[in-house]
Amino acid sequence: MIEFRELSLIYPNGTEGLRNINIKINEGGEFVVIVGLSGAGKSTFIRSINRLVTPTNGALLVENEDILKLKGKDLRRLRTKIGMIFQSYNLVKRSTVIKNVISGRLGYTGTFKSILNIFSKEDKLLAYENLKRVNIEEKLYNRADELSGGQQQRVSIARVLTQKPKLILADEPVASLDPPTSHQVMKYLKQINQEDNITTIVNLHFIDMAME
Amino acid sequence: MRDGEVVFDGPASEVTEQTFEEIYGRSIRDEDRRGGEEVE
Repeated sequence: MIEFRELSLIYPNGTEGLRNINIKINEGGEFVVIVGLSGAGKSTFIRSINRLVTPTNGALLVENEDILKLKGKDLRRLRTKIGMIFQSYNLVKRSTVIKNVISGRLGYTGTFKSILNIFSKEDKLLAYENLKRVNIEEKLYNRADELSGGQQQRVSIARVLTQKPKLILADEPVASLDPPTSHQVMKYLKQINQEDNITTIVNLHFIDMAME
Repeated sequence: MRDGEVVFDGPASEVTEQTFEEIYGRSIRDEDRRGGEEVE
């Protein structure tokens, strides 16, 4: 369960990002769409859940723990459980597709091995299997910046899957894509939600896509 | 969401165009729809 309790956020410049939000989201496979115009607070809402932004008032409970109190190691532990998909994909563009995907395991890998890019055989296999799930395994050794926007977003979905998250946050995942590719990316997100039972929260501003 | 507040919280089955107009604070425009279909 994710619970917003009278949650508000005021940015340092005085802009009000969230105002007294009270909402509960069940874990265990719910697919939630947050709809609103640009500036409505959707990104602030979603980014509060993994503490990319920090609310200024109220409580935000994830699995009965108020995450606003988390710091350091505990905050990293929270983020390991939450995968995030961004509008701009956030891939390492000069790196290969497989290296990007396997980076989803970084939260579970020791610092030394992370620095040296040493991953287990199981992690490599998991990354490959997740590329297959979004039908892009043939681009395994391509550089990320050689791919189209839709392909890059599929790689970022594979990276999130490789993280084995309990929750997926997607912040405007189709805003930079053309209509056919947008539908395809949403299809993958819904498919993963249903097959893996991972609660998924998606920000959208297109009403027809929200209704799907 | 609108202006940092939750305007509607409920299942998609309860959402109408009027709900979106309330969320957006104005009439729905063509630009509010993505349109198109998935291409395999």
